[in-house]
Amino acid sequence: MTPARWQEIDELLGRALDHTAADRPRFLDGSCGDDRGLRRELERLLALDERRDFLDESVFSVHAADPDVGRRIGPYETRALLGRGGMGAVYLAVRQDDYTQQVALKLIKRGMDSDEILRRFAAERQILADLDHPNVAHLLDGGTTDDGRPFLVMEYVEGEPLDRYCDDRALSVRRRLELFLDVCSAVELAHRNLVVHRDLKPGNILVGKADGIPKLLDFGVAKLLEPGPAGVATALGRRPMTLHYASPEQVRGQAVTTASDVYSLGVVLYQLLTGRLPNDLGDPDTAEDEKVRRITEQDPRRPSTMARARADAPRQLARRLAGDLDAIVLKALRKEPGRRYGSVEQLAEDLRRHLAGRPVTARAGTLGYRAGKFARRHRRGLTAAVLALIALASMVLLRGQALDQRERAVREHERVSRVTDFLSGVMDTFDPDQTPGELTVLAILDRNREEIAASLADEPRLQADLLDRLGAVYRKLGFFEQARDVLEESLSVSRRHVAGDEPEVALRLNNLGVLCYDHGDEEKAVDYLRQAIEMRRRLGQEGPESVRSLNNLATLLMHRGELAEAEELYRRGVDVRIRSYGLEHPYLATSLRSLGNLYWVAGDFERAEPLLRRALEIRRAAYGPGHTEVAAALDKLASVLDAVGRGDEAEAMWNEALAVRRTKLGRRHVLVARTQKNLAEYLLGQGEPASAAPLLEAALATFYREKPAGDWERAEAEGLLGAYWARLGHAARAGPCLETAYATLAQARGEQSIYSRKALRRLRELAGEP
Amino acid sequence: MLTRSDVTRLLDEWGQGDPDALDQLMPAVFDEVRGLARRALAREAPGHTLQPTALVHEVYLRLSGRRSVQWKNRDQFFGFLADLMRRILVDHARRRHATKRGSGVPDLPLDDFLPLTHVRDPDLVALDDALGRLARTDPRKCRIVELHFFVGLSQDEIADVLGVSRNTIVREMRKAKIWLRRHLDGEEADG
Repeated sequence: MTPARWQEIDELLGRALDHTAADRPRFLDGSCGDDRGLRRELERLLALDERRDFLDESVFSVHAADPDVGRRIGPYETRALLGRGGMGAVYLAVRQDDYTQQVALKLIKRGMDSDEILRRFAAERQILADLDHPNVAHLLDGGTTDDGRPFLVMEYVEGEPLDRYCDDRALSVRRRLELFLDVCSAVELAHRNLVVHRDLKPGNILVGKADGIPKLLDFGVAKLLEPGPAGVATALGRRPMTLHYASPEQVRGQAVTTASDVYSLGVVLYQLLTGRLPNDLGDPDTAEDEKVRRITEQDPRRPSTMARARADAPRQLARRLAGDLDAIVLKALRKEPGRRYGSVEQLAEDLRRHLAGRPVTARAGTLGYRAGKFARRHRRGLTAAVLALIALASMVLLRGQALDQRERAVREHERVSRVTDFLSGVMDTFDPDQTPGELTVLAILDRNREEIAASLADEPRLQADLLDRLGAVYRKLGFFEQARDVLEESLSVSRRHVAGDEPEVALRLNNLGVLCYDHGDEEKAVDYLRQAIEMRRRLGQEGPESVRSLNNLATLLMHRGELAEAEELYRRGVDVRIRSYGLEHPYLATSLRSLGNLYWVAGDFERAEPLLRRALEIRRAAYGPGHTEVAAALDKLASVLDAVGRGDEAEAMWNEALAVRRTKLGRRHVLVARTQKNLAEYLLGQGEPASAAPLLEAALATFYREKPAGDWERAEAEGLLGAYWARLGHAARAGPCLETAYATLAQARGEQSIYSRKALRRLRELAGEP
Repeated sequence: MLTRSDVTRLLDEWGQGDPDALDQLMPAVFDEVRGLARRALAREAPGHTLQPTALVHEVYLRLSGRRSVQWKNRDQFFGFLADLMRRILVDHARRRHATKRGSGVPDLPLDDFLPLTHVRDPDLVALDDALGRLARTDPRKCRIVELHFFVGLSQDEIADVLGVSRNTIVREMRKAKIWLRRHLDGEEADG
């Protein structure tokens, strides 16, 4: 850029800044004329005016010489200033007896120890003590300094503010929403404890550098709600430090409710999605009244509009935000508390709906919206359905070729035209003139089903076959009822028209059994699987074809506690696979691992170990060391070794499994959490709660996110958390965790399962019973 | 309180690559700079000549490599303070950065090598480069940002020091940040 050009742009930039955002386009029209390059440049520069970054504060704003750095406070020594607030400061500190343990120590400023502030400090301590959540920085300790000032010691989160974390890593919208949902779950817990945070902002949400887990900090201005008239819990408003994130009722000094936190979360979400704040408060020197006016009166721009206006935003962003996310964010940001989401939970639920492609409540539930949503959610499904049809058609044609020459000559023409008829019948579904109403995957598949029933009635074998395939498509797309219907129909067609036993029918029975099991109908599942096995036996197919059904049935029986028969079935599977595949095949490893797992469940560790070890060896040889199947074998074998007192070996295996799973599956995968949980349990047993804590926390975070409340594995982790608290002597915290865990496990796995018994044992220990 | 010989010793150690030395000096230097700025702004004691403290003076000489330094007016004096702070922070950030890289350890434990400010090392280094460019096209904008960012002066104070209206400062600062952000985004360089 030449100096002259620079001068010109700088001058125009200054004048453009004097115009309001709304007037700028007209100003630019007038001053840039046809010079598109100039206009683009100016737009880009103007967009930069709104960015908030480190340039906005001087280097002194946080750091200044501080007499409280390098001081002894209780058993701690402060090392550096982390941040400063109105009434005190937060320091990085270490324990004097353990320099490796870093903590955040919050200390009231000298001379600030008025009654009011001391009360608030005590309140914060109580609030933190009650909030036990993986996404809240834990309270570790507290006390009073020699000169009488109270202090709090909290978990130190070495991390970055949420917005910066996302931007630095250029995280996708989905990842940002996932992190945001973690934060929501922490705020939800606070609200359940009748605590409003009142100062939610990215600076109070740090994402750990090491583990990527967001943690909510600083409940310094949080407030316990008091039940008010009409049962609405309120707290008297207090002017917050950070206007950008404050709700209209907060800046007016009115009553603050959980809806105020919903609003602040809305601001944070807006910022995460658009890189901008929703309220333009002008430059830092705008008068206070004017700022308040803008917060209470000025409607924010839609996030998608903001993204479009940002010259430096990726082009697809606006499209990604338009629709659901616009509606969700704006609903959280309504000026009137009553028109926002009723709770953080509802906000989070709507975001989860959006992520799952389900209709969100923030948008008017018009039919067109819902139908469009359905088609989008199943965009992949739609393609799958079409592909499945083509596959079906070609299968039919290929089978025609496999028939013997004579029959083929006679029937080929007929077959081809039949398939053509069938396909064109189905293709009509895609023709809007032929299909009234919404075009959905379900409609297409249902249409398929009718077509199969109508046009192939005199070709039962083909009909049964196609129904079976269709069942698989239904199942893949999550339509269990329909899947079960067509699979059963397929079975009955075969039974009616095919004399005697058929391998295909046995396969169908197996598939139905698995489907029923998935769907929670164990009785039916057992019935179908037994029929499948029986039919294979009658067909003389007791070789590898039968193993899948054997294993399915065994797994089901094992979960029901019928171990003896499960053992027998798994053993048969192992025998068959050794005979069919030899001693080195990965299929054998799967059978060995299943059997080993059964012995582990039964508590027979001596038998479990060699089987699991062999499974591990086979998998290592077949897949190489860094494979998830190897990790699965390691994880289980480690549990067995731990149980027989070879903890060192077990620990190494868990660490290896964890490394593999993390690399291959990502940090937040359920299988990663499973290994973390196992390793944490071991470390806790070794008397190392400090090493166990981060693993347990990470595991819990994943389970809370991925698993529903009644899930046994999540309950296991909760039970472990109870054991952790018990170990630290916090009986009051341990009790509820262990009770929930036991109740859930007894329900999900039976009172006699090893999991339930373990939870019960912990409960008894806590109660001081033998 | 650091004595003059402490300062000399610490500066020597620091020059030889011991980062701790600067960490020990800095809280004092920060305080001195703040105090100097405050006193200069308040024009305390009529006829009082602008003088940095021995500590600040020494650090500045060492960092700038000059033998001595003189100020004709407040403008220059504040320029000196800004320059001093900028040198200290950027130099520290560059070294920290280099140490981290060179050691092959991505994250040194915090207490081994504390940051001097909340501003991140890469930001400081990038800002230094961007200011260098801005100074070539528009030295006044560069100075305004320095006084705000490195000396912590408010907009009113900067207006006072530079002898222009507050509105000018507000507007120039806004534009300066825009230009800096543009450079910081790493897009085409000017000139």
